[in-house]
Amino acid sequence: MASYWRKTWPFHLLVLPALILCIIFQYIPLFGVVIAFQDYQPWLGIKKSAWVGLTHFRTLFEYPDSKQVIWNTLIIASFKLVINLFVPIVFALLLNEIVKTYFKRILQTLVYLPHFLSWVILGGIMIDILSTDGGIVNRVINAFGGQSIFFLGDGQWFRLTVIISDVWKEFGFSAIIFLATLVGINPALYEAAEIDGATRWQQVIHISVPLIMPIVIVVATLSLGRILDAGFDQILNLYNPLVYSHGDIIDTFVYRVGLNNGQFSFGTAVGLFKSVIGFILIIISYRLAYKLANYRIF
Amino acid sequence: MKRYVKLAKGVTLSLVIGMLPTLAACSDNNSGETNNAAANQAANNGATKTDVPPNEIYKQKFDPPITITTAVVDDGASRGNAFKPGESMEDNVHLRWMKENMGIDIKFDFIVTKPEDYDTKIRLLLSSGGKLPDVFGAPGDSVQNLIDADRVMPLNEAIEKYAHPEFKKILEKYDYALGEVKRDGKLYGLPGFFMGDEGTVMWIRKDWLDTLGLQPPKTIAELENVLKQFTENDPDGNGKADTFGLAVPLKEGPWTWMGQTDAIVSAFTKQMINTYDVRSYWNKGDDGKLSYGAIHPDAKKYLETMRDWMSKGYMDKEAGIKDPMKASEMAASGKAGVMFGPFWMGDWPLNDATKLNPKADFQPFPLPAGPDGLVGRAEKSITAGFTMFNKDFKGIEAWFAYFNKIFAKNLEQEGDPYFDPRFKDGYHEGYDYVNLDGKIIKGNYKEAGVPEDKWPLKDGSRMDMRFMIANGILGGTTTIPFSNDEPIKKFLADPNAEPLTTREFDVKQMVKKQITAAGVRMNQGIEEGKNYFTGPMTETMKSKGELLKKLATESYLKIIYGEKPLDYFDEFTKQWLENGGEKITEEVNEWYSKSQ
Repeated sequence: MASYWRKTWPFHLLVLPALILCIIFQYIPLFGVVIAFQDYQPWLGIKKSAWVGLTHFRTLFEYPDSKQVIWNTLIIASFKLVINLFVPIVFALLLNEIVKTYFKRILQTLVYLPHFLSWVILGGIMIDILSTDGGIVNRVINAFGGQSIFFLGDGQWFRLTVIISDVWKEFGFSAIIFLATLVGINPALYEAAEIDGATRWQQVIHISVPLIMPIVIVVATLSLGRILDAGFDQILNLYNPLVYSHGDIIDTFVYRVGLNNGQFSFGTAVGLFKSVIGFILIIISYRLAYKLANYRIF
Repeated sequence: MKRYVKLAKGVTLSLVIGMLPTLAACSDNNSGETNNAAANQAANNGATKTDVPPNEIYKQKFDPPITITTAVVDDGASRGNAFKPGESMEDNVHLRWMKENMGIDIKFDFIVTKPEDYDTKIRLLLSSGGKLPDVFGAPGDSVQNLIDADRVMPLNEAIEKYAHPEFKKILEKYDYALGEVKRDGKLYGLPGFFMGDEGTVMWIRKDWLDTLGLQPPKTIAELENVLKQFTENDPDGNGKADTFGLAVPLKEGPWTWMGQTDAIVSAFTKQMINTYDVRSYWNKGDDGKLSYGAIHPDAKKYLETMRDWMSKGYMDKEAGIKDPMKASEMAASGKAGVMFGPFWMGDWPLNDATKLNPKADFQPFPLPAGPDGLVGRAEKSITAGFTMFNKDFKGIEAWFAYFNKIFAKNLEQEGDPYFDPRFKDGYHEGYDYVNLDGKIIKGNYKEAGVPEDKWPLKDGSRMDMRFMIANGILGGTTTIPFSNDEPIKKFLADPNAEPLTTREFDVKQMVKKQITAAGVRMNQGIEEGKNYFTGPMTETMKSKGELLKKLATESYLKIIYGEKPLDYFDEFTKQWLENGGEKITEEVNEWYSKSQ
């Protein structure tokens, strides 16, 4: 053991700064969550603020709107989660089959560009293109003889709009990780399959899909931890009082209650609640991934 | 392995060496700040002023000089022509002038580029117990914390002793709006004021009225007819049914900063209504008690009208998802012919309509009267924020000496002992004015024949002195409420009159429609509906306010959109009261009775 340390201490020393930074900036701030159990006043600080126990958590569940808000969050987030997993996989598999490199590159660039636009900008654009009064989408619907749809003012349509627009914005970017994995697959496998007479379709089903499965599981597991994140900046920029009943999510709710009104403790309590749920879900899915797919992430 | 160990050793060593200067810099910095603070303290304690006769009080000079520390937001971009090249917030002609002539030395504790950063800085100083600047504009959400934490100075005594008599009068007049900084009869902040002249007028497409042969509406019934004609009779003559009457944002309820419908509310009731903020409007009843406007039964009449107009298509079908900017696009793009809002809309955004159609002509009109002859509008909050003083600040006399000077300059009153004759023509020659052979020129230098080398700025434009004058220590604003009214009257009477004062010069810069609209507002002579609650947010407001705001705005919209019957209003009122509204009403009235 002693000789192990003598040989390797410089390596440990190299890790030390990162470790210290991690402790200072990641772990020490964690103690800040105690304000979720306090009636935190900024000028009193953590030490002197009054202890109120679980009051803020009780408030969260006592708000008449809370049930609806949590429900909205779950619906929007889980749809986004599932669709945002499958669309990029399918897209990556399709893109991988394109032989012409330049076309592939252009396509890839085009679909991941929306990822870099902020929702503040897209929000304004969407209000225009989804307008019932001459918006391009409704004009197309009218051209096919349909009635104009008030996408952003009708609860059910609002959810659908939010989910689809989010998928449109993110699928190109999410596909990058799958594309990278596909590129990394040993070409010898495909060559061997071809010699055995496998069609392109069979190659995808029996080589590509099984080999990207581990990464799919990783991505799915990690995203499960965000099951209570339904897209704060997107919804904040698109919602309005007409669709509160279907579109108000935990984050927008906390933003209005917590930050606008300076309720730091309440905001922290909700954040902590979200983290705990996310943490439990990650543990469960990690166990499941190990049990079902015999795959360990960590 | 051995080789890697050696490499690792080398890297580690160089990293450590590389970090040494940083560490050293940190410690240097600390000691520097302490010294500075100590020096300031010494200077402040020993300060005396030169005695001046009371009729020449403007001559006040402090010797040894007094240092006042402050902080300010300065993003460098949005302030336009605030400084000459080479000068800055920290080093400019005005600061040098103050130091030389008044013995006041302004130091900036911090200058940040974004308001959010400023708020965060103050909040951090507050919670960490760090030294607050001597004078600073208090971020809205920290005002209560600063007072609660006992970190800011009560000002009653200083105001009594040093403030300009006219400023005392203004403080008295707008005393009702200072509830936020009052605690136990003491005033902890000095208000910055808005001009207060943003009261709603009615903007209508005059060219559309003429095309359809309509008269400007004087009542709500006539307005309804105009909306109907605008919607159904193709006022733009393009053969398509693509226009409607009223452009209105309802995303934030009846009251907002542009496109607000307070005038429609006021045609039916004396109650003022805002659903988007539980702090306003609290109206005073005959019994002297305050009640929340949005739950008053009179609101039903407003809702009924709006609901009717919505169902008939007289107003924007998407009003519920639009904020004021989005709503104004409807008017600017030639889709809507009527929009309510402040006088300044005559330039932006409504004048944008001429870009599409040069004949488009939005004109301001007096507000329409309701069936019982009621006309009114709501008063916009008059305070623009508060300037607060560090509890340990010793130089408040010097601060007031400066404040009074600037205030007197804005007031431009004859025989005012605070008025500094050195500022008679403007603040600084070669900055906000040019003296051309005895003639004072404050703008349009080229037209006035000023030689190019004497222009304050190379492109010949005027300098915006507000930033230099207010810097951090006046909290960013020196506005005197309604001080534009007199200049506006002057230019309404004679559009070509020569501007003499700074105010008149600013007013002259407005476009004609804005001046006309300001005149329409003044001439209608409406007593604006006040919000009687100006205190700090009450306990229940903090915990339930958001819920009630959501409930109110949502209910109003559902009724206007016809998703809920009109009678749902009673259900809404009941819910509002049960979910904390009743408690808030009690708290508000308790505050009100105490503040009287």
